[in-house]
Amino acid sequence: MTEKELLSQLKNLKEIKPDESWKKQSRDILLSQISSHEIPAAVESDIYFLAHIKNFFRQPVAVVVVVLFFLAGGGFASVAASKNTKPGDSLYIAKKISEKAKLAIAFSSEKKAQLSIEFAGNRAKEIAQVIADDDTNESKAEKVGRLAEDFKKEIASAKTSLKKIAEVDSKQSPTENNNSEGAPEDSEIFSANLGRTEKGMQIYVQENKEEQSRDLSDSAAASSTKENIPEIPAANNANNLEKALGEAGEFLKNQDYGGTLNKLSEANDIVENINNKGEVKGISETATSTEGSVLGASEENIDNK
Amino acid sequence: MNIISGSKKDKSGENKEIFTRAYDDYIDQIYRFVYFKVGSKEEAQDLTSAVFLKTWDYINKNKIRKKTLRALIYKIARNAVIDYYRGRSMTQNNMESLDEGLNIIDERQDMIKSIELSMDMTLISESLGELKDEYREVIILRFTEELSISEISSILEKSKGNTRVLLFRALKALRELTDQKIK
Repeated sequence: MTEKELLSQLKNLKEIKPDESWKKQSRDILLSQISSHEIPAAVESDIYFLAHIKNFFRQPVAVVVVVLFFLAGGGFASVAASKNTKPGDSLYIAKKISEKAKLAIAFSSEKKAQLSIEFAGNRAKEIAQVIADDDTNESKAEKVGRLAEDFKKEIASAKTSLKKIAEVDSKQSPTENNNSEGAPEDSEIFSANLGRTEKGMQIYVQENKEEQSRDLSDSAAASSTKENIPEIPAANNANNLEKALGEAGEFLKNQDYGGTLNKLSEANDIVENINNKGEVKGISETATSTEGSVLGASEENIDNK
Repeated sequence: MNIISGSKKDKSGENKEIFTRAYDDYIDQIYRFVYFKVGSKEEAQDLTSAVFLKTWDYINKNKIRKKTLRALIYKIARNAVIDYYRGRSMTQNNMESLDEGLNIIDERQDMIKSIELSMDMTLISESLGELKDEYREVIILRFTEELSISEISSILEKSKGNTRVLLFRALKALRELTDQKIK
């Protein structure tokens, strides 16, 4: 091919043109958008923003950055502001995300167990907040139910982490002279507890489900539900829960894993209680006075402390 | 915006007029320019729209001169394509659908000529596709869009001298490729 031919070929490439229909359409769209200055920026960001975000997250570095951001955000007002939110609040999502971020960063099983206990505590607080809310009966019960499920999940994660610690411990125990007697025993009790409380949890889960399906509008069911509730004074529920979780945290710090488990199952029982009561409260009127007294009693206790 | 000394009230009206005219004048070539870089009709369409949006944005925020508007739009287009590639894996072949362009030509010619043409076009398209990106770019700008060296150097942000050298080398490479294929 001579140079001349080459060049004329290149010139022929000019024949390649955009579709007439697209050209016209795109022109109309553009012109209508630029009539008000703000829209173009928005559209542009539509085109690029989502794509950029998607691509940003394709890299693992980005994920780490976001996690770190939320961790760092633990010190900032915005995340701190999310601390007392409950489901339904707009910042609740931020709270949940920062919880997940903290958990992702935690590497030791001890730390993970600690965090799970903390989160369980958060769920418990949220349950109390939801119960105290002036909300319709049904969504309240649903929320409490979901929170209770989450609570159980946190307890379960805490237990899993504790299990891991126990495994590591029992592997190390033959080499440790001081604890050689104590450790195997502890891990036995440990696993016994694990089994027991999980079973315990199962029973409660079933009961819970039965009660939920019995339907909230049935007050007759309400009275029979009351009989199933273990006898813990209603007034002290929320308070006891915090106490139990706090003690669980303490046991964990002191590496008394058996003790931690005991407290965790205590906490579990209490939250089941609250959950049941929460549903019941929605139904019968007599319960509403209990609501008031739960709060009142908790406040009293706090003052007395 | 400072092209014609209009009153401030007229600014946005002026801008709109200038923009509209720019769109009509340059849409084909910008589309082509982007198309040769990304190889897909749909992508080229999306990117071209985005380019003009950005141009509108730029016009409103900065002073521009009519003379350099075209080069400006090409620069925006160039950067848009670079950003586009940053956002996706680079394993795809750029020129995969250059054949699409051939169909348009076919419709406009009578049959014999179109066959001849398409054979040559295939040759050129293939060769172009195999060229280095910057070679292809400068060849298209110079020989397809027929921009001046001055303008091209402004778009590529190189000196005129460098642009000329680049063009020389690009053409040489293209010729070598096509000669190889003909044999």
